[in-house]
Amino acid sequence: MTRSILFKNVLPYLIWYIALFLATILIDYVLHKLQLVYLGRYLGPAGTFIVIISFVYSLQKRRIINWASPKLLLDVHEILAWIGSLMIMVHAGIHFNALLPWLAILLLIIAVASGFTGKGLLNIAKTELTEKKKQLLKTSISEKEVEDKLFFDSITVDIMKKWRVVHLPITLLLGLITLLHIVSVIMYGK
Amino acid sequence: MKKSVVLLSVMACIFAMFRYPSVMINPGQLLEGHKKIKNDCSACHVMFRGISSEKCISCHKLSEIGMKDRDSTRADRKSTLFHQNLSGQECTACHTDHLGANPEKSFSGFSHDMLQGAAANCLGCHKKPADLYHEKFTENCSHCHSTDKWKPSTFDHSKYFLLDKKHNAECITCHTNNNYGSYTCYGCHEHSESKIAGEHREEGIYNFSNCASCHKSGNEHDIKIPLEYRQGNESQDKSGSKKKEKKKKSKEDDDD
Repeated sequence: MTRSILFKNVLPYLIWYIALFLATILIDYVLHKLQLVYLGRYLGPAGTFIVIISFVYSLQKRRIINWASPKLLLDVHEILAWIGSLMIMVHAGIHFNALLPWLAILLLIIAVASGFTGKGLLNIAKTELTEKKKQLLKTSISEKEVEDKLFFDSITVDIMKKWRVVHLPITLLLGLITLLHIVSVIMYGK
Repeated sequence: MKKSVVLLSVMACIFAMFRYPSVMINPGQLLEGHKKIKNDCSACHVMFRGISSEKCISCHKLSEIGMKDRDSTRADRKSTLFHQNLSGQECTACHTDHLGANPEKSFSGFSHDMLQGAAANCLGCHKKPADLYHEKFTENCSHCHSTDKWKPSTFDHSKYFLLDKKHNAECITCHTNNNYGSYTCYGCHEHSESKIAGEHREEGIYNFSNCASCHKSGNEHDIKIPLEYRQGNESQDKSGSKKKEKKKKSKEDDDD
């Protein structure tokens, strides 16, 4: 069971996470090789813009907008956040020396990791819930009683809550630190 | 609780940004002469307005820039005093400070048109390439090089030898030992000294040390013998023609 969870739920996200770093190194290498390092300067604002777009999912989730299915928007959120993070990491790798941008990158890395973890835990919780439901239905108790006895539902919620404890504040802090970084660039830039 | 942690963190960052700007937001090390002002961003920067040229000029008098050259590696260069003619120009158009990924890019705003009179001396700023070819030149860099970029130069190699498809090689293949004043055609596998000697002697040519003088196009069949060679090698040519005729005759005999 542990092996199955590891391969089904953890490994795919771990691969995507590692791919983020490998892709950053690769793009950084190519930009240096082609003497296009200056492009990294523009990848920061572009990546931030893409990440901001990915938050359409959060607006939908909080019922502020109602454009598409949450599932679709979650997929879009994951893809855009990954691409945007990649661009920001390339931007950071090319020219950053100060602590503030370093902090922003550290928070970004944690936010992405917590995002992947959240998605993984969600899948684990769903699988466990389904399994438990099947087992309970095999017994003589009614469906209503099964629903009542689905304490895994609460476990799922607990796990999700734990994940959100990290993901949401870190993302909020990331947003604010990024804002400080942008303001400092505007303040002291040319 | 969570919100207060986030808020406290942000406030701590803001405080640190203003208290320790060189650690928090400095995008790169300052130049040696500016290191003492590393925590005083406002010494050069005006908030939201960029870098004021007046602030630069308050320390660096335009008429004095270049008089004291502290860079020992530039000891061989003459002082290039041209900044006094640049009033009204933005210093940051050419200069930057914080050393980033590409500090050399900081001079992208420089234009050679700014240089006037005596300042328009290439060697006042540029170091001469350390090769034997450039060694003999002391001026007239513009004969081959433009002010847009050093490479490629406007030097027309085809005047001496055409670098066609077959001769698209690295300079060092022909110009060995960093000497662009001489060349060798034996730098590649195609032309061995013995093979070339054999082919030429067969034609009665014994002076074949300067390949490009006759084979300027790089095509072995496109031979243009210079006048001085023709006169000097007249006897060779005659014997060569005799040999050619003899060779042709024997070929005809073979065909019969």
